[in-house]
Order: sequence, then structure tokens, then C-alpha cells
Amino acid sequence: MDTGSAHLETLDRATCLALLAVLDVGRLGVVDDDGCPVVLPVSYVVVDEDGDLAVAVRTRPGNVLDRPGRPACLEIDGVDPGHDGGWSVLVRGLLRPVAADERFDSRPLLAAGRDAWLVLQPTAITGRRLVAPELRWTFHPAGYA
Amino acid sequence: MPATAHQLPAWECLELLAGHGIGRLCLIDAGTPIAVPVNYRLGSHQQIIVRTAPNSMVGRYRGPCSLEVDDIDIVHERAWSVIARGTLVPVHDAHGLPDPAPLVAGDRNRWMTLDIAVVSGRRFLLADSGDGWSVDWQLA
Repeated sequence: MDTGSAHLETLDRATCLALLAVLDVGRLGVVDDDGCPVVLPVSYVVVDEDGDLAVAVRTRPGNVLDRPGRPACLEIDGVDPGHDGGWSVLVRGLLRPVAADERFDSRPLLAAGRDAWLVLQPTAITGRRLVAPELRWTFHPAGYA
Repeated sequence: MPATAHQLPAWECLELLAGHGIGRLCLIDAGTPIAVPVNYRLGSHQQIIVRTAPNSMVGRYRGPCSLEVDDIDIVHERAWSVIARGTLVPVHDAHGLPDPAPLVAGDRNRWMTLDIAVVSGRRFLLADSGDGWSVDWQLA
């Protein structure tokens, strides 16, 4: 099947930051013990680190996501139910441990034992939008805010 | 407890993968794990099939890879996530494989398969925690 004219557009940085600020669930990516890259859904919160944006998460100490000092990513996206279009934002960076602090609290629903507090310090923030040939697609509802 | 979680058996993970068509393909780019949304289809031999452009990052990639598919439905108080780990390799003969039909079809003529080595997943039942909704789960 060739839908022909659907194409990808690059999202500018301001749009990427706005989308990151609106959502609160994303997917944190790490390379696991077997060398396989994986992402897992997490609650996250955007924090201001001396004027630079960073992403804070909480997880369980010692689990697959608890990799301070290692490269990681956060991915968020919005895809409409008809799969006719959507967008995604990717934050690449390094994980570093931080002390428990209210401003770093991503408020995971399963908070018990989530005592590893991490911040993803971005090295690159990029985004793309898939533009469908007809305006049949929509953003994730949260993307309208 | 505001939420409960349980691990899904492999057959249910595969059923969920078969019932969806968009996931996030994870690979390693210059040492950093990255994730990109893709259209996919589940093949008959524990394979996930994607189509991409030959000169794209995914199209040039060979090696450890995973696909994550999830459905976080706050309204219906449920959420699940499935991860298929394996190796991404190019397909030399796509004959007989189901077509993932990417929306940007123009130059997406590089067929690739993620040959699944391990599949795992979790399902959550959500409840209002009193201070808003949030989700957090991970494999042990």
C-alpha cells in the first residue's frame, strides 16, 4: 500500500519542550544487562536545572532502569486511534542520581520502593511529526493543551 | 494499594503484539538507546516485521533491538506494556511476510525483522491515587 503523500516534518525545539511539559507519562530507554536497548513506561516530570531542561523519574533501586551514569533516552509520542498520523519527541542524555526532593518527584502510582531518584540530563532533544495527506489525524488529546 | 501489577505469560504478550500495529522500536545509536515509533506486523515465526528507508538509521542498523507496545487507558483504568527483545536484521526475500504498511510509504522498501528472543509484559490495574494519575512499572 502506498498512501503517497504522507511525510515527516521536524519539530522545532520549542514545540518539543512544550509537548514534554504537557505529558506526564513517557518511555525511558536504557541498554539492559544483555546489551539490548529497551524502553519502559514511566511517570516523569520536567525540571529546570539552572536554566536547562531535564527530566526526572523515580524507579526501584537496582532494576533495569536504575543506571546512573549511563546513556538513556525518554520518548513520548501521540498517535491517533486511526493510525493516520502523530508525533514523537526523543530526549537523549545521561542519567545521574539525585537526592530525593519534592521537585524531582514524578509521582509514580506505585511509589512504594521507588527510591532511586534519577535525572536524565539531555544532550539532544528532537521531534518529528507525521503529516498525513488528509487531515484525518489528530494529536494525542494532551497535545492540544 | 492504588495499583496492582502482574506479569503476563508469553502467549498473552504475543497476542497483544498481534493485536496492535504501532510500537516503539529501540536500538542503539552511538552508544545511546533510542526509541522511534514504527508500524509493525507480527509474523508467524516469532518475528516482528517493519519497513523503513534503506539509508535511514533503522535501515542501516543490525544488532540488538526491542519493540515496545503499550496501551495506557486512564479512562478504563487499565494499562499494559509488552517488550519483545531480539535482533534486528534485514530481510532479503519479503515474499509471504505480512506488510506493516508504513504511512510514509515512498521509499520504505527496506524490510527488516526483529527476530524475537524473549518476550515479556506487564498489566496494571489503575486506581485514582488521590493526587492524580500516574504510571510506573518496570521489569524486576
